[in-house]
Amino acid sequence: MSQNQQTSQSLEAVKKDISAQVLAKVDTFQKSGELRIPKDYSPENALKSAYLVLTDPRSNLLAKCTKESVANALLKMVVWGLSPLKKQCDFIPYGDKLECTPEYTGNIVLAKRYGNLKWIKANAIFEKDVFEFHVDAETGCKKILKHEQSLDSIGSKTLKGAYAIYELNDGTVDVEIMSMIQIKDAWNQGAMKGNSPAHKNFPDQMAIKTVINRACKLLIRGSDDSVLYSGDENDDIDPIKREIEQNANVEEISFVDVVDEQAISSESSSEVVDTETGEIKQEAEPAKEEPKTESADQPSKPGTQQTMPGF
Amino acid sequence: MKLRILNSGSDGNCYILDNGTDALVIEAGVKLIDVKQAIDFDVSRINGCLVSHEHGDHSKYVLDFMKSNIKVYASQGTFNRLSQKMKIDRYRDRLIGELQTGKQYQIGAFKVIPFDVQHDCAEPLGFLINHPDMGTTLFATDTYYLKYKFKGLNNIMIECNYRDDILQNNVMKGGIPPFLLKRTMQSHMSYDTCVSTLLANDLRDVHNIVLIHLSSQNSNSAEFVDGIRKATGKVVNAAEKGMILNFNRSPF
Repeated sequence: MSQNQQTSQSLEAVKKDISAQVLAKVDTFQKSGELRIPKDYSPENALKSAYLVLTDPRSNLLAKCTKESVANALLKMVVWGLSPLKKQCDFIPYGDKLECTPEYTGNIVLAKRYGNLKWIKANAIFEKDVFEFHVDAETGCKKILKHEQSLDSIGSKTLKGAYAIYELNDGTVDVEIMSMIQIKDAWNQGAMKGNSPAHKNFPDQMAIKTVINRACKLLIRGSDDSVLYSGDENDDIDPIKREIEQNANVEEISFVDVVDEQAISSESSSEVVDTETGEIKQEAEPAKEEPKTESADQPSKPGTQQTMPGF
Repeated sequence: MKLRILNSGSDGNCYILDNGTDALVIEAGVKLIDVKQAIDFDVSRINGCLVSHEHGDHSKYVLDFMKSNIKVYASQGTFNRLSQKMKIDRYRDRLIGELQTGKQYQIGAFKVIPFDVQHDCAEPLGFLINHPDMGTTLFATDTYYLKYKFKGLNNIMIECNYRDDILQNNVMKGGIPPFLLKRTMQSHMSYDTCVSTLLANDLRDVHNIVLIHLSSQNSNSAEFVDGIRKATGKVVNAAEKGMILNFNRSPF
């Protein structure tokens, strides 16, 4: 029991330690201009959700992997701008080294963010489906002429292939089509070589992931980082506005020795009097005190006054 | 108490709080002769001159003021810069009053608390000024925001230099070089900041709000006055050369 407690305590320490480290690193990178984080991405939230995933007792990755590899994986996640809780990326241990890999959903996020992807829709082609497509000889773009599916055909464990249709922000529509041979070749690159229960039980879902990944790959790799620079002219201005919002009108300044005068015209500022005189005296005090404040002007401020005689 | 506005804006600033026996000059950005004229050549009633910072439109005539035996009050940083430009050092003993932020000073009949403001110069100040006739007046110019809020205000003189859309539009039209955009935003108070600053303060006993240091290009005084009047429900004026306003503790 106590040992368990100890390890969970030390885990907690590691968690906080790495959390602070990565956030600090992200912060210094951002400040020095080495790193630009997408505006719609919150590194803090992503790091928090990463810990939820990493401390999941079923895998307990945080305890198994080295601190450095965890920090690097987290940094990678932040640089990509992906959220592990939304399953946009996976943390995979290779021995005691943790790696962060984008999921197909993460690839969609990246393709949308950087690759001008507007939408993407993928379908599996089952054995009994009717599927025809055509390659445009001029542009090389593929076009689906016919895809007929029926309740009889869907759900078959035997697939012919899969395709993903996508539109870019400029209106271009294209299709990525993969035959089952191509898909299996892709699966063979993975550790399970396409033999995981998921691949066996849900081959259509796995095929859809594969074709989406392929479609997004080119969009992502062929993209620039212009998104990160959009609205750049305002970048210098936003910090000014932020500074104003954070710092403006916080501290209060007032004449201590004329508060009484003000208290006559507005009962609001009676706090100072309050501490000194108590509430009942207050009403009688101002009338008496008004002439007094004037004569008391000079000596009333301790040590700070400079007197300027008239000419 | 009367507020006499001798000039306001980047071509010169000078305001006089004057009740006929005591006068406090704020800023030395107009010729001494103009100041003398405004107070019927009765220089002896000038209790002193506050200077917010060393930029010429606020301090150009400091030396002339000193030559006429008017004590000038500013921060140490401001005096250091001024002494590089003009021979004020020989007056150091008599006519230079170095102000430190947060302390309270008695300058003739006026009480003054200087506070730090945000401008691109050595050590700029704003002033909280009190006189029995006038109550408490806030004076803040050339600052893109105020860190502070103020208690017991009766009159407010605050910079309202530009409005974002007018400034941006001028930059787009090419009237203002882009580098000045940032400079302006990081040294002068925008209309929006002016409104939020005013509303952050207790305005119940405020009788006058005077908008000062309006930009010649990036402002619209009629709209500023109208907007701030609606936002605060107070008497609002935009400072104009030669303007004289009643600046009293009570509105009457």
